[in-house]
Amino acid sequence: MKKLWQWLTLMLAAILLIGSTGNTLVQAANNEQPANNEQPAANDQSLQKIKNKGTLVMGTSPDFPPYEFIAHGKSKIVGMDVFIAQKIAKDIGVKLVIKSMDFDSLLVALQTGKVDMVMAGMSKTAKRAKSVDFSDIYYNGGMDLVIHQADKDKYTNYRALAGQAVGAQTGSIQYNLVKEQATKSKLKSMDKITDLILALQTNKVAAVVLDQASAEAYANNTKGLIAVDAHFKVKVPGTAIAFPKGSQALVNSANQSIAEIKAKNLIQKQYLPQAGKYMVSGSFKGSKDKKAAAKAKANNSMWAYKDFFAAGLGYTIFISAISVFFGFLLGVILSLMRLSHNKIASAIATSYIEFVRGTPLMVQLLFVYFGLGLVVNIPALLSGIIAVSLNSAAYVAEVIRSGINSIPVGQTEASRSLGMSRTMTMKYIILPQAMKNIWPALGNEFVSLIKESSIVSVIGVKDLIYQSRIVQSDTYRGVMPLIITMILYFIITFGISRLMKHFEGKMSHE
Amino acid sequence: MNNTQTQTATTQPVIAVNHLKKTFGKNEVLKDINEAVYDGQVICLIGPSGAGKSTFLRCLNLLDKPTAGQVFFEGDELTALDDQHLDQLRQQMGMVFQSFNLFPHKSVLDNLKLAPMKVKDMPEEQATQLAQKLLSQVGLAEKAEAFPDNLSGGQQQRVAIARALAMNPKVMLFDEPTSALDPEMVGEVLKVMQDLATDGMTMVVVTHEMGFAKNVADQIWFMADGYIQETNSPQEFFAHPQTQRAQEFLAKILEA
Repeated sequence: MKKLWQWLTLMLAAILLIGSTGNTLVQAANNEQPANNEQPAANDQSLQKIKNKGTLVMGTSPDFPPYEFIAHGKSKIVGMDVFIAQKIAKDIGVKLVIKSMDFDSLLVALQTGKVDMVMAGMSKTAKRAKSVDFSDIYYNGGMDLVIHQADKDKYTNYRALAGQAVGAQTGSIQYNLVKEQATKSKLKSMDKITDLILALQTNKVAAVVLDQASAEAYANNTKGLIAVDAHFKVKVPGTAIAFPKGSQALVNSANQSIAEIKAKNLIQKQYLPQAGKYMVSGSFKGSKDKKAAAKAKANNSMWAYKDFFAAGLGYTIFISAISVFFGFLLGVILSLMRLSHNKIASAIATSYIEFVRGTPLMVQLLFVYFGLGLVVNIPALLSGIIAVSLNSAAYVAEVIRSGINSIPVGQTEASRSLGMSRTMTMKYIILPQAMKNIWPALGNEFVSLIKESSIVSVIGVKDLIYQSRIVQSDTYRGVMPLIITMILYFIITFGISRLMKHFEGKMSHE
Repeated sequence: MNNTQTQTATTQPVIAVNHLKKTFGKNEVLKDINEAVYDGQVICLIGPSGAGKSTFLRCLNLLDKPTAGQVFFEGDELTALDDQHLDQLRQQMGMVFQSFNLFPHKSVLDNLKLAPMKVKDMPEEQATQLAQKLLSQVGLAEKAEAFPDNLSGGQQQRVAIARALAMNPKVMLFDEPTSALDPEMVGEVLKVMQDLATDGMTMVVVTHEMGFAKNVADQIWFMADGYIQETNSPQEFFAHPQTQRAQEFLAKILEA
């Protein structure tokens, strides 16, 4: 009972601690709000900061052709938004840096200073304008439905989709439109447009709601799909650039560039055609030349993307290897702390282990990247490694603790009676035997670490999952990249378990 | 070792206990024990199950921490020492357990070599020589490379005795060393212990082997209900037990 109380108090303390950090985050965001309205540019350092830094960091989610996407067969992010951003950066006189991440993470990245602006085909809404400063609208397009060609006469607008499943990107303006207006349809949301298109192709949804430009890009590049006007009631606000609150000077500068782009009609004349060039794909309808089509098709084979998978594999192995090492090291320390006679050390280790095991890795990752990002700026890759290592340590600690507890107390007594110290006993008698006992469980933990490391793709680390998504969006092929990714993961994890078996055999021969 | 006090067998006991008490929760196992063990003595501790014999033995090298009272080893108060100094004195008190407690991940030879090398920094070659000599002494020279799991119970217990001897202790504590053995293996272990006693080793033995107690012990301590009820020479104890508790105990044993 007493123990239970101690526990509850500890947990409460932990929650309060985290709660207070969370509050400062919200407060920080709130405090900036009143500052931006009609703030004299003289007080606003936002533009000067960019100039001093020499770089303009653009956050985007490159799965949104023609706005932003990965150039076919290359690992370069291109698209209409990118060309506009290049112009803005050029007008300020700095270099453009592009950071890619999930659409959902973009605004958080903006508020935590990971990026200077967000361009991701983002609609300018009143709700979003509460937390960011928007530039002028640079593109206006309606909402379309992407549907099967066979359904052309059936689904002429969103009302015709009553009772059907309709897909939209999570957190997008389309998502809200479907939720508010197409109430008779079942809304299915996913993070990636490529997944939505795949869901449509496999008849999981009857239609996908996208903005006009994207809808046409996908329909034009995917056999059997067409784009039609969705006829949603509200006039959709146009697409604009999001800046952090209180950066009016930067917004003004961007608006000048946008005005120039509009005056010269650069989007229609130059940027969209330029983006289209990068969108060559095997199933491109417009390619009449058979030879060109065949060549394009060859490029669309998975082999053409071997560099992507290789890079992803490299990152996944790199993250996993480092995390296994630090996770194990920290796990040993935590388990010894938990078993130690020092009550404080034991309480710290126990709280840590229970807390980490009781919260999702996804949240821990976002906390390390965005939460700690308020204090120190940690790059995405390092954040990923830290989160996965810290998470794994808790599980490894429990495995090791169970191993240590499995050794009969007589072993310790025999060792201590020979005059060996506590440390010597642990090092020469207990741990070697415990390791042998927990080896299979440890192997399982390493295998699951490798699989779970895939979560780092959420914050834009270019691991295997991230690359497979790029290949998906680049080739408009949904299943094949997934199969290859599965096979690659299986090869690594199977390799690891064979390796562990090998050492297990070696240990029992000793 | 660097004890500069002048010792004489009669004035300075190897082990002395003073008002020793041990409780586990509400259970008072040792109530008030005052005894001394002198150099070269072989003490056999006998008594009914649950009398606290094993607990008493484990309090002598502080594997169990006494609840109250003092334990002295050659004049040093163990109960007042910190862990580090305690480790140093524990080396000089070898202990043999009922369940052998050999290290299963190490060969017989390595079981013997480990503590001298790690605790005393003995060079490996010297440790190997010492281990081989001790294995011959307990009649197991040919088992040096074997692993504990491949030995019989009797062989394992002899290795355990050799392992304790490898630290060159001044006293050996035996906690029911033959209780977990098959009957045909009891003899080989008792033989090793008897040889040790003959060589002049100071020994405290918790045992149910009355024959051994009668023949080898210099003194019998009879323990029951948390007290040492009677200390006597084996001849006197087995022929004319003084206390009623001892008489009852011996009567029960003879019935069986």
